[in-house]
Amino acid sequence: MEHTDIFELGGKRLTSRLFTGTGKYGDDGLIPAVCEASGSQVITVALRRVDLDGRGDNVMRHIPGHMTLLPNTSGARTADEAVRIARLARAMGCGDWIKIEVISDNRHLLPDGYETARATETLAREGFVVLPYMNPDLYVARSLADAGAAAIMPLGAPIGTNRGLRTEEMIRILIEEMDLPIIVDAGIGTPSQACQAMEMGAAACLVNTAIATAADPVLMGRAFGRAVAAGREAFLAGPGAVSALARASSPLTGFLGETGGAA
Amino acid sequence: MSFLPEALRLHREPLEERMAAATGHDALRALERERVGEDGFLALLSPAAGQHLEAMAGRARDLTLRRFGRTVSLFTPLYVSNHCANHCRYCGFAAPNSIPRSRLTMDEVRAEGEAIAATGLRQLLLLTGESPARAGVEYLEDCVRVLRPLFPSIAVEVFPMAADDYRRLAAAGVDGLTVFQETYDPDLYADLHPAGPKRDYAWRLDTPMRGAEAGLRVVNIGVLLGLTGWRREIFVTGLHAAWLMKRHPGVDVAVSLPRMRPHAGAFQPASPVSDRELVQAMTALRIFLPRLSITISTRETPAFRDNILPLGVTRMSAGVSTAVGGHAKAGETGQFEISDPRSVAEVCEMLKSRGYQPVFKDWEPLEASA
Amino acid sequence: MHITLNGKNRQIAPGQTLHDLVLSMNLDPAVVVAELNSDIVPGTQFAATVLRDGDRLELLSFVGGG
Repeated sequence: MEHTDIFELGGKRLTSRLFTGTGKYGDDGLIPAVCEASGSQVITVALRRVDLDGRGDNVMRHIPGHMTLLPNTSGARTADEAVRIARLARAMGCGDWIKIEVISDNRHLLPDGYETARATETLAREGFVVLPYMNPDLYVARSLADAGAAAIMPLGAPIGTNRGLRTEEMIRILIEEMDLPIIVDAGIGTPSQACQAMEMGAAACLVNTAIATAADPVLMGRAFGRAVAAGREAFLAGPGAVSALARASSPLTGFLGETGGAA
Repeated sequence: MSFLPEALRLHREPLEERMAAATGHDALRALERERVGEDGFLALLSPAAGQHLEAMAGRARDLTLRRFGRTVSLFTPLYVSNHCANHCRYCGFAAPNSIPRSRLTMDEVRAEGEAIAATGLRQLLLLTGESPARAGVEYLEDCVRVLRPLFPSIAVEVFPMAADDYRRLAAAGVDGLTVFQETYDPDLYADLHPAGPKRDYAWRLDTPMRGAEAGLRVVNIGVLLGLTGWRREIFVTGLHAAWLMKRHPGVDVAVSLPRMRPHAGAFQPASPVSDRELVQAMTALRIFLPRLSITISTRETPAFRDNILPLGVTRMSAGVSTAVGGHAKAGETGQFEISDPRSVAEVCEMLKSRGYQPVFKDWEPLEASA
Repeated sequence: MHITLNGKNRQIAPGQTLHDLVLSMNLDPAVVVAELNSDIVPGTQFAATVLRDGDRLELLSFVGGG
C-alpha cells in the first residue's frame, strides 16, 4: 500500500520503520535480498581492525547504496572508546549516524547508561546523529535527551536473546514520557513482538539476530517488514473493538438521580 | 518557558465544535485505552460522553484505587488576612466590598493554628487576599514560623509571586502552592478582573510553574466552575496540569474543582455546572491523568462529597472556616459560603464508614540544612 | 623499519605511504579508515601520508554488526 507515514530522523525521511543489522549472517550475500524483502532503509554495521592477511570479505560490498548506514560502537567499554570509534566511523565517509553502544559487562551485554550519556553528549556536540542503545530507564533516557540524542534505543531484552519485550512496561513509560522517538533495539525475536512494540507507539524497531539467524533470513526479513508496518498502522488507527463497558445499573452514579448507564 | 503560547493556542481552537462532533463511541474507545491522550480526553469531556458516565465513573474509580488506594488527604484553610487590592467580580473579599478588613497578629495566628491542630489536622492551607503591602512575603514567613511547629505541611493560596519569593517561603517551611487561573479565557478573565494586580493573566498563568521551579512539592491549579463553559475550561486545565507534570516530574500536580452555585444577591454564575457535569469533569480528568491529585472543597454538600469520593477525589478540606480568624471565634464574614459544615471528626467518621482512611500527614519535609 | 600495525609489529620498506601499505595488503582504500598515532587519517590523505619508523597504525573497516 501507499506509505503516507514518514519517520523523520536525522534529516532523513524514512518510509520503513524497520532497522536491520549485518551481524550474525551465515552468508553476507543474503543482505541485499533481506534489505529488499524487508523494505528496511537503515542498517547497522560495526567497526573492526582489518584482517592483516587481507582475506576478509568486506560487508560494505553487500549493502545496497540506498541504505542509511548506522555504524555502532560495539566493542567500546567506556565513553571515550565509543567516541573514538564514532569518529573513525564518520571518517569512513558514510554519513554521521552513530549507534552508541557502551558495554563493559560481557556476561549480560547490558549497556552502561552513565558512559552512554557521556559519549552521547560529546558526539551530539560534534554534529553526529546519535542513537544511544540503553536499558529502558526513565532517568537515563532523560539524560540522553539532555545530552542531545536524536532518538533513544531501549532494549526489549538482552542482546541476542530473542526473548521478546521483557521490558515492555519500562518501554511504555519511555514512549509516554519522552518527546524523542523510541526505537526498540535488541531482544525482539519474532515479528509479532515487533508488531506489539509498534502498536505500543514505538517509532521503529531494530532487528538483527532474529532475521540473520532465521532458517530463511529473506522470508523472515519480509515478515518483520510487514509486522512493523502493521503495528505502526494499528497504532495510528487507535484501539479497535469496544467491549461492553456500559452497564444497566448505575452503582457509582446512581446518586445523581438520572440514568447513568447506557441508553 | 511558559504555558502562555499553549493557552492562547487553545483559546483560538474550536474545542466546542470538536467536542460536539465527538460520539459516545469515541468516549468508549478512550475508556478502552491503557492511557488516554488529548483526543481521548476531549471525547470524555464531550456532551456525547455524558451517556457513558457510569462507565467513566467505573474507570475513574479503578484508576484512583490503583494509584491512591483507599486514602483521602485532609487539610483545612486558614485565612490570615482579607486585605485585597483586586476587584474580582465573583469574590466576597474584592476591594470594592465594604467588609471588615483585618490581618491576624502572630498571637492570633498561633491561636488559630492551635485550634486547627486540636482537631487532628496536620496539613494547612494559608490564605490571604492580594495585598503584598499588608500581607506580603515577610508576613507569610512570620506566619509559617509560628505555624510550622504545629503543621508538618503548609501550603499557600495567596498571590502570584516570583520564583525567588517562593524560594523564601520554601526555606521557611512552605511545601505547596494553590493558585487558580479562575478562567483560561483571556477575554473573560479581563472582564472579571477589571482592576488590581490580578489583571495580569500571563503572570498568574505561570505562577504554578514558578512555584515548581522554586522547589515546592505540590502545585494545585483550577478554574472557578460556573464562570463559562466548563468543558473547555476543564480541557485546558487538564492540559495545563499535564504540561506541569511533564516539565516538573518531581512535583505533585493537583486540580481543584471549585463550583459556584447560584444564590441570592451575589455574583451569578453565567454557566452553572450540574452535579452530573461535575462528575463528568472529575472522572475525565482522572482518566486522562491517573496520578493527578484532585481536591474537593466544602463548597459542595455533604451528600455530594460523600458520593463522589470514590470517583477520583484524593484531597478534601474539612472543618472549614473561610473567615479571617474564624477557627478560634465564630461569626466572621467569609470569602464564600460553604455547604459542608461538618467538623473534622465528622468527616473522618464518614470516610472510615466508607472504607477510606483519612490521611492527616502525607510527608514532612526535612528541615532545610543551613 | 618497523611500525605497529593493529597491535602487531610489522616491517615495512622505508618511504612507504599509507596508500602503498593498504594496497600491499590487498585492501580497498575506499573501505578502510586509518588512525595513525591516535590521529584519524582520512582516505584522501592516504597517498600523502609517509609512514615513519615507530608509527602506531590502526586500520579498520566496517564488518557485520547489529
